[in-house]
Amino acid sequence: MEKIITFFNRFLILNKRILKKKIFLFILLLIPLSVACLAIASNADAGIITVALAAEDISDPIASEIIDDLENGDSLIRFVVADSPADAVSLVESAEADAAWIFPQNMKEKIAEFADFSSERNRFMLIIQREDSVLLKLSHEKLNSTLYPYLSLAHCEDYIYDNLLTTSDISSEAIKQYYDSIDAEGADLFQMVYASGVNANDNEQNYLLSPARGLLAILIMLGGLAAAMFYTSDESSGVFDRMPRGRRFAIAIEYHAVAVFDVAIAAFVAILLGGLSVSFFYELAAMLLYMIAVVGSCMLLRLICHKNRLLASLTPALSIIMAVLCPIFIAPPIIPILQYLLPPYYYLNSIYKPEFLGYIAIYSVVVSAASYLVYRVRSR
Amino acid sequence: MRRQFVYFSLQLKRAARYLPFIIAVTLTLCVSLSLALSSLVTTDQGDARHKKIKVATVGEFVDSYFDFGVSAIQSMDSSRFAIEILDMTEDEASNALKNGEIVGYALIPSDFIIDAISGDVGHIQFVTNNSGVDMFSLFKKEILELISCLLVESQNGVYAMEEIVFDICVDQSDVYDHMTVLSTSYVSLIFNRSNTLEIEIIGIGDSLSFAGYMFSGLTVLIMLLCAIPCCPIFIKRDMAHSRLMNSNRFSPIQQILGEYSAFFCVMLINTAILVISMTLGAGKILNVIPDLAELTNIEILTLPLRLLPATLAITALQFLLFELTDSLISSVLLQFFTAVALAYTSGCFYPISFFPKAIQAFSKFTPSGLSRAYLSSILSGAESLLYVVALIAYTLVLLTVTVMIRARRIRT
Repeated sequence: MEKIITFFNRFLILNKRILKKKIFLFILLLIPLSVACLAIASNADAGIITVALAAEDISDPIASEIIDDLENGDSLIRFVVADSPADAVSLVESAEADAAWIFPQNMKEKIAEFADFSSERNRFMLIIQREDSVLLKLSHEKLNSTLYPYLSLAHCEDYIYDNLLTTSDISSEAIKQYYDSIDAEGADLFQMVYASGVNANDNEQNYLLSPARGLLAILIMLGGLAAAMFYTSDESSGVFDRMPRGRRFAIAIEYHAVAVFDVAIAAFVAILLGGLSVSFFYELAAMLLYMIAVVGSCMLLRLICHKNRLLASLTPALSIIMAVLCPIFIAPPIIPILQYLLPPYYYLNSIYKPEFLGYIAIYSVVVSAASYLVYRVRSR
Repeated sequence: MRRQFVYFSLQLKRAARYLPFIIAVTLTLCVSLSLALSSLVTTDQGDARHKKIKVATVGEFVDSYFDFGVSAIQSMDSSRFAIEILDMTEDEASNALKNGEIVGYALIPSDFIIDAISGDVGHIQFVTNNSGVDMFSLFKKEILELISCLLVESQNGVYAMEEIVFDICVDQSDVYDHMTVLSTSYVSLIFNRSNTLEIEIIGIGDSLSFAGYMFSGLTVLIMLLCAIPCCPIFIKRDMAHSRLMNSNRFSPIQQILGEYSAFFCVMLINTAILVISMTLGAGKILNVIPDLAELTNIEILTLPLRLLPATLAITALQFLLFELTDSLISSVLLQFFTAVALAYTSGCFYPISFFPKAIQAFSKFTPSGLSRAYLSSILSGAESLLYVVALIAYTLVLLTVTVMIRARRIRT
């Protein structure tokens, strides 16, 4: 019991030593503030592709309605309204837009003509694009889903007039009223869930905010590495010379734990403020296990590298390796032999796959045991 | 002048002890990133943006309508160029999702089709994961919305026709035949929906390819991160030495110039190795970046010199961050945090066009944003003197602030 109290007292004293540095406090405050600002910024007008919209006749009601819907809707595509088709094309030529969608004159007639199977189907929407990529092909589906309600109505009208009734029996407006009054099922056809069964959180899907958790995980790891360098620096200055070798492992844990703990708290607050949290207690559990894993892995790395020069040189390389191999920016390539060594890999996967909480616990035990083993070997 | 040179040499000797480690790590990083970049930019069609999204369907069906429907979509629908639909068992789909082979799978109940035909459209669970944060999987929501729209609108048309017949037509005996014919014609309309579009491709012209853009972003990111190994050397835990030099008329300006010059030399060597090896690796050997493949050997060797203004600005920023901290932990965290925050908002991770206008505007005024834009302009052959002037101005301002901070720390 006394050892535990001593451990915590030393932990608090070490924490005081770091927290006295104003710049460290500033960084800790900056972390949640930056994520909160990013969360706000991610709601602004942004898009993976920029499409310029223009109509040959700006007074055309259907073209205006579609352009308004696209401009004000929620999509991964950013829409900008150009003054004219020529302006839209020049936006594409100057790479300010990836594509231009140009709506023709007499949209109603063009749509009716297309929906009429008995007449020749003419392409009426002009798309100007810089390249032929999958992303732009997918953007066409956005346009299709916007045009389709009009096509569907025109097709229904065409069928009724061709096969059932005449314009004197029922007007076009009346058909539209019948059409609009139908509340067909299927609007929420798909329910998106994660593999663990949790409903997909809209905020998590935001591409601007989605790397935030991964970057915070790397930052916590950097905190551990910095603490490792700090300990090595104090060790080479002779700070621990008077301490028995047997107690230095516990002191090393405290050094690492202090930095990791402080940065992890800031990261946890950032995750809550950014709306990335799946559940408070689940996040807390995952973060606690991750902290232990980071402390263990950084201690092991310090014992293996043993010199500040090597540790410091490895830091940027490790950051980039973690950014590539962990699910942060891209669906990572599968290289188990490297991925299984990285604590962020387990943490990031554990958020939507609960079984990874078990894996991170196992990882923590393994690296902690390995670091103790290396410590004992080096102590002889 | 002699004292200045001696001080510079001493600082350079200190920094040079770390240089072999930094270079070794940089070279390893360059090889890994070149390979990673080539895996992002492969396929016969040449570009990652040409890869198809893969989704799976899971379900056991009593009838073959569903299989027929999927085959029809895969052979006739315009989405076949962008989406590949695979049929799997639930275990296969779950494993494929874990391994990143698919972006998601639809769990379709066995009586879904029969119920849907009779108007009772149930729900389909679409299982996905959040690790798929790449650009392609972000479109899954848009595609699922399209499918819902096609289904709902087509039903609206068929049921509207049915109601009109019941309300207005005298002869209602073959209403269900009409519904069948209309439903079938709606299928044809769905498959032909993309025939409304006349597509004209004008080409990317003189602008940079996607791979070229990512190369410039990654280069700036690595430059930003490479200051971290120098933290143990350049942070000042106490100012006794600086105060002593100041009292011997070795002013803060001279101290900063000596230290910064040493740091700059180390970073310049590192940047040269980084740029040349990445250009040779990704551009010439793996040939995944067409903008680099076009460069001559002389142009590749002189690329680090052309990047000098960017190297100056970035190293000046990093040196200012060293001066702000007096502890190793704070220094490492501040360098990393600043590097990542600036790199992210400067378009080093995602193209800058992905961001809102406010962040795009902000990026134009940051050293990282300017450096990335400057490197992009070099690669696209549209180099501008404005970038050079802006970067040098940034360097001078940052170094001035650094000197002021050093002077204040010496006094207090």
